[in-house]
Amino acid sequence: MSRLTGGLALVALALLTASRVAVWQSDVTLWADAVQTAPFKPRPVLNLAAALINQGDLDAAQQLVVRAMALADARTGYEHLEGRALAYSHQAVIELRRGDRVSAFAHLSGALTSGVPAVLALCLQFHCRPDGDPIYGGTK
Amino acid sequence: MSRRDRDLFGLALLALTLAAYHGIWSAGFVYEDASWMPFLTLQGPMDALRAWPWALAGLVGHGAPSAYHAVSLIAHLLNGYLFWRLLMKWSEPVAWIAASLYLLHPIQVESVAYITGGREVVAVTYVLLALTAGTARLSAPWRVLLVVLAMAGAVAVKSSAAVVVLLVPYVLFVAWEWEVAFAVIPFMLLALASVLWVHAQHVMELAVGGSIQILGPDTFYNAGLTCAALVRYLLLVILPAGFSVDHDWRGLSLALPLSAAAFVAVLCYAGWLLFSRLPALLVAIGWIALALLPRFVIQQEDVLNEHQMFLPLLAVWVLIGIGLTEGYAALLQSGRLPTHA
Repeated sequence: MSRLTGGLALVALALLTASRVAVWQSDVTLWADAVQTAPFKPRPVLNLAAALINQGDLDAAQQLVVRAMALADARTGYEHLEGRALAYSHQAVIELRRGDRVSAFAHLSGALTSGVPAVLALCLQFHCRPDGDPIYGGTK
Repeated sequence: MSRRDRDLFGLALLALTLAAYHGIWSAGFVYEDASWMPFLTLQGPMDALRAWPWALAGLVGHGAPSAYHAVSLIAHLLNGYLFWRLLMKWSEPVAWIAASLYLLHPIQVESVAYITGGREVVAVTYVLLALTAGTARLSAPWRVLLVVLAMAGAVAVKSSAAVVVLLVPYVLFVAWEWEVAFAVIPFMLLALASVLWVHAQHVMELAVGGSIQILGPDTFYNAGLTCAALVRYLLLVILPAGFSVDHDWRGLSLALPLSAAAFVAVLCYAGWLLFSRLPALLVAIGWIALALLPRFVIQQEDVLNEHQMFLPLLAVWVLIGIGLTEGYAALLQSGRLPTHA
């Protein structure tokens, strides 16, 4: 009986692990899960937006960027700066993808005015991949 | 357990782990994988100790993510075996329970299914190799040499694994391997100094940028948040639901981190009081405290992620193994369970 109980417990753990592994399939699945767990934290929302930009779903991404900006405004310190700077730079990428360079430039200016050097470095790292893709790992 | 039962259970555990992680073969690069890829490739001969598993995977798999995932899974399985083998010297039931939990608990997924998190898994491989070498039936100079090599590997793979400088001698002392433990300490201090030397400038840059803090005005608040994260992860071990790549610690009200810090302090005190009856509890608390020590000294915006619990949780798996084994034995003694079960 104890072996049966132990065996069933291990199978249950394996099933939970398998379902958790499924979350790590892609950036969209990963960050959609994180947004559910931490709905008021700006970064998961911004990272889900980035993943959706990557997939070409610009409208859904834009809604998330707007939401993330509001969430960042409710935070203080580094989270506030990081959230605002990334929200501006994500919005700039969305505008670039839509072909609106003027709007993109305005949003990049917003990113520049909102962050400390470390946050701006983060934005550059986020968007300026050596392969030229504006969002990491993605295709144009 | 007979040899045949042991083989069968080991194979079942292997099959369950492979089945649980089958999803990694179709998973791509996610989150910070692209940023960490240069760290996982060979850019010079000095990178060999650090990057060889991923460099080999890159060569064999032509850069496909599945090859890098294979590194993490192979290291995870190897760790399960090394962990089991180390604990078998002490208690067979504890060894099986702890190794099973290590391999199959979903809190481990962030390290095993995330290519960047795989550095934690490989660092733990080196830690377990060091402990295996430190307690092996070899002459002391050989054991010291192997322990130092394995430790160097752990620190090379992940700088934060520099805590092994404290952890490995600590375990060797507890296991009464004093000769090796004392001999290893000067080499470990040298490793710690080299890590500090290499990373001092980077840490200072981050500190100036505001993303990390070394014993600053928010030290106690941040320590409370780290305690809150620790308590949350311990609860996730018992009730495995609510995992996340990015928990919202800074969204917590002030009372929660303070309560968590008080709870952790009470837990440490209870461990101290129970030392004579349950020495393993204090040893485990010591392991977790030492493993998390850098997180309390160098505090980052990211409080404590699930994959950063990979090394500290080794002690928790052992504690659960002891608890279940002792509890089952007590139930058998009390006659509440049939003895043939």
